Amino acid sequence: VSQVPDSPRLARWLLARALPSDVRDDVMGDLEEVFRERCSIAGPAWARVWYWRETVSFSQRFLLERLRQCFKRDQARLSIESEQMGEGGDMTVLMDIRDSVRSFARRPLLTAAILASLAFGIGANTAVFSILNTLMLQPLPVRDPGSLYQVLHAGDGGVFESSTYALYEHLRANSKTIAGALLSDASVMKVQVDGQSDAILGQFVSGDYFNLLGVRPVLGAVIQPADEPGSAPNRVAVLGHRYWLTRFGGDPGVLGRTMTIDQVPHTIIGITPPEFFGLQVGRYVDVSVPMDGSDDRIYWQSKSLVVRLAPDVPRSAAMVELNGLFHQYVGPDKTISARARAHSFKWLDLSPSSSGLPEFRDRYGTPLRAGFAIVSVLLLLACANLASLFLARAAERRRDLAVYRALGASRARLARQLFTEALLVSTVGGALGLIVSWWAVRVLVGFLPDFGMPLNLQVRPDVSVLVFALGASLLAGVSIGLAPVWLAGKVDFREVLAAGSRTVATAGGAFKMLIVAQVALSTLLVVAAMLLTASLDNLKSQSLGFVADGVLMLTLDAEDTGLAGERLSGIQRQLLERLGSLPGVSHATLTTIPPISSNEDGKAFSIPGVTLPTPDDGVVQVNTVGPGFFDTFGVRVLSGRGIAATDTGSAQQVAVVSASIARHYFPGVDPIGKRIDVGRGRTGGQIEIVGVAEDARYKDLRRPADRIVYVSAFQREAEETVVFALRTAGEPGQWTQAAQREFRAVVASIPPTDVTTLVRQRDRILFNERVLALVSTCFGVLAVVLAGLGVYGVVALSVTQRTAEIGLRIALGATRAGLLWLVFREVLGLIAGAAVFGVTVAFLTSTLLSSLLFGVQPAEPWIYSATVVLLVAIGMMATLGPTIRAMHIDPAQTLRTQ
Amino acid sequence: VSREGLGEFEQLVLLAILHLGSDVYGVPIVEEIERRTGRAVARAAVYITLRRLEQKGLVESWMGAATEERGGKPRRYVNVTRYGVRSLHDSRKTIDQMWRGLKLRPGGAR
Repeated sequence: VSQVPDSPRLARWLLARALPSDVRDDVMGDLEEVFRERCSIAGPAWARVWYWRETVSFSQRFLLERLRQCFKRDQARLSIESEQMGEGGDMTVLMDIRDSVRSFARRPLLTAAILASLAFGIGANTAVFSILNTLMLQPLPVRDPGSLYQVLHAGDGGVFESSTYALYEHLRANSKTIAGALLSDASVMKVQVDGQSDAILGQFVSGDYFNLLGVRPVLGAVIQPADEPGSAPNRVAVLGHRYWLTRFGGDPGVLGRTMTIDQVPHTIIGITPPEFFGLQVGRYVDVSVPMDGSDDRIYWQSKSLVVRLAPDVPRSAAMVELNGLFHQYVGPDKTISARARAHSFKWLDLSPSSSGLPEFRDRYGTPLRAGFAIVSVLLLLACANLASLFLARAAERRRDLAVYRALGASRARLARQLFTEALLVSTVGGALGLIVSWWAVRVLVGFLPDFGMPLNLQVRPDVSVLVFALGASLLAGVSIGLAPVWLAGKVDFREVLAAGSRTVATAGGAFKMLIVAQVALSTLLVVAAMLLTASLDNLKSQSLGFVADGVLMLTLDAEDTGLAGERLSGIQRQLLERLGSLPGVSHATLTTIPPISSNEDGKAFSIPGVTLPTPDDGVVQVNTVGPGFFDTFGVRVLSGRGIAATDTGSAQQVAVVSASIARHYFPGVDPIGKRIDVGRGRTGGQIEIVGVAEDARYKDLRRPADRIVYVSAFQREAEETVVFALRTAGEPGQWTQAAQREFRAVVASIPPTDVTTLVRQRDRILFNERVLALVSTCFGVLAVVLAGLGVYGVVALSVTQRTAEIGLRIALGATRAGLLWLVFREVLGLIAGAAVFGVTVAFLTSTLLSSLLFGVQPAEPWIYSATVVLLVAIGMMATLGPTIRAMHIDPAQTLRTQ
Repeated sequence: VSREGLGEFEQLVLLAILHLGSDVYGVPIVEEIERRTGRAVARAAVYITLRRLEQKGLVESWMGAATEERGGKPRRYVNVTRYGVRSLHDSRKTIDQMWRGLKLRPGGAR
């Protein structure tokens, strides 16, 4: 007998919820029976379709049946006696929900607008929160992450995370407060498998890395202390799960195979579990190899040292002991100068690392927190807006409410009905918000810059994200629902019913408060948006000293390849020639420090025969460049000439200096023809200045340009790592393929790394500013629109409520202008007051933004006045429509209907 | 006891049960009505009607054994009570009384 297919599980689950408990089992049994019969007649696919259709039909009919029965019961009770709070139980709540759904269904457009603003507000907050959550709160998927601490060394200069193998061994051997320690060092590795080269993210790890973290392999084994190169004859590698799947198709036969990593053959011994990504949230380690402990005793490398505290040892105790050991270790070290000691080796710090190493926490922390503040204000604003909308609806329905009261519904019953509406809306809005956030997270993560290594931020929503979204929805629901509930409490049915429709505005105070709140909150957002946009403009429009458009860059990294000296130099020349003759490429060059890179090459600078006033004065950045550098990057040569193709080994050593050097070291003198020396006499003081170039900003766009000496690449030993740059006649990305082809043709064994464009580099360095300006502008515009709609709604309502009054005034001879003023006066006063209040709050909080601003003061007067003018203008526009309606009120008509 | 008459669908369900005789449960009831009337019946409506009839005391039910081919769920067997049979007769009588002396030609014209 063949296997009987299952009925759809989800459908069964839904059915079980929809059916009343007394008939659940037998109905589902009957359906199962018919399903199986249909499977054998029509096939499982059709049977499933049938099952789903029955599920929908049963759910719908039984829910309606339930509502019908509730309704009957409720009707009976209402007609007999005034209902008491609480006795209704879930039945009346169901009724409330049904009534709410009906009242929303009657106005689909309005409902859609309400849900959209809630979904957007809650979604944006949830999205930012889930990224914060992933970066800062979620624990690493390793054993007992709470006892992991990163060891940092610190001093007057700040906190530094680089460590050494020797310190690691020292702590591990001598400490009693730690259960173990590990070292890791992530870097982009060049691997070759089956003759194909890739550049992937790898990490060097100490031998007990995996054991200490408690990470078990899904296949094979992980690295053991005996695998460290000092003690093992051949090297081993452990693959990340993702790399194993994408590169090897998940083939278990990969164990024992050999792959070349940075020119050294490694044997693959195991695969890490899928959830394991390393210690750095945001990076996914594709391969781990054992660390060679013998190769360094130098600080300032990228090794991260992490310890696991022994059970029941508090951090403070470990701090004391490890600091003692640290001083034992660095004390006798002669290579650390007194200045360096004060700057960065004063003490050890233990940083909690249960959610990973802090790289991205630090880099994205500020913009994420600022973004979080902005979206929170936005959600508040949306709530204020919806609160006034709900209040307006409740005011409109005041007569209905009074009738209910007269029929015996208690105040509590009415309040509950109104509250149910608010909670229903906010819950549905929150659910939609979760969907919005899912999408928004992807967009946001796409914006994040990767800082040189592949970014893989897997935002994993968890319970805390759900709780957050739920909390935001509930908060929104309560804040939306409070005002109308308060209004319902005030409804005196005798008065309302006796007064007919000639009622006095009962909600005036609440409306005014809500208007003030909305306008003030949008003032905050508008001020923030204008400040951030102005500073982005300042950053972008300032002269960078180079032309960013049209430059493609590729890095040739010959480290560990065995290529060096004349051979490498020849390869570089050949590549440069071939790249320069590509069609559409006007200039090509190579450089060690392209503009806006993290590369640095600080060297001592001296002028033979001149003593500089302070030793610190003598540090400049040396940029080793090929011919065509200034043309390729668009850096202007102010006088003299640039580096030329003839500046080769045999000719006179030449240099071009930046204008800042000319100003600083040669004030009032023409530096051309002068001799200088960089790198403490190793060049013999024989470099002749042949040109002066305009200052270009190399690192931080906010700081003054570095002092730079440009020297010719082909007059010295070939640099291992150089960046090739092409100036192209169009979008530089289009030349990527062609350039990579040239690389393959010249050096097939070294794939180019870091293929990027100068514009992308610039935008990456401006990432925080761009995203914040964009986000705050979007939200600022949204805020102004929301506030405008809010003002419009309230003014329209107030005019409607005062129809009789206005009609009477017209009948008594009031002029149109006078009436216009009547409505305007009220609104203007309100908005102006709110704007002033908002601007004051904005002024007081704007200093929070000051670290993100450039060339703008947080208290920039024109921004504040512009904001007030803008909001008053929006308020007046929003007032215009209802006011014009008020002017056209026909007195005869109004008075007749009263 | 309420003298509320039976709805048409309620009568269909009750009559189907009586036709089937023994071992009557949801699945055959639906089939019986569809077979005799030649119309498709909303299955859910049959179950809701059965539940309503039982609440009114026109139908009684008891659970059978759970079986594997039903996903481990029991069958609910139903039977028409004596009160149910009487209600059916009442409904029939009411309708008959209304029909008596009336002659209609097909097509609606008198």
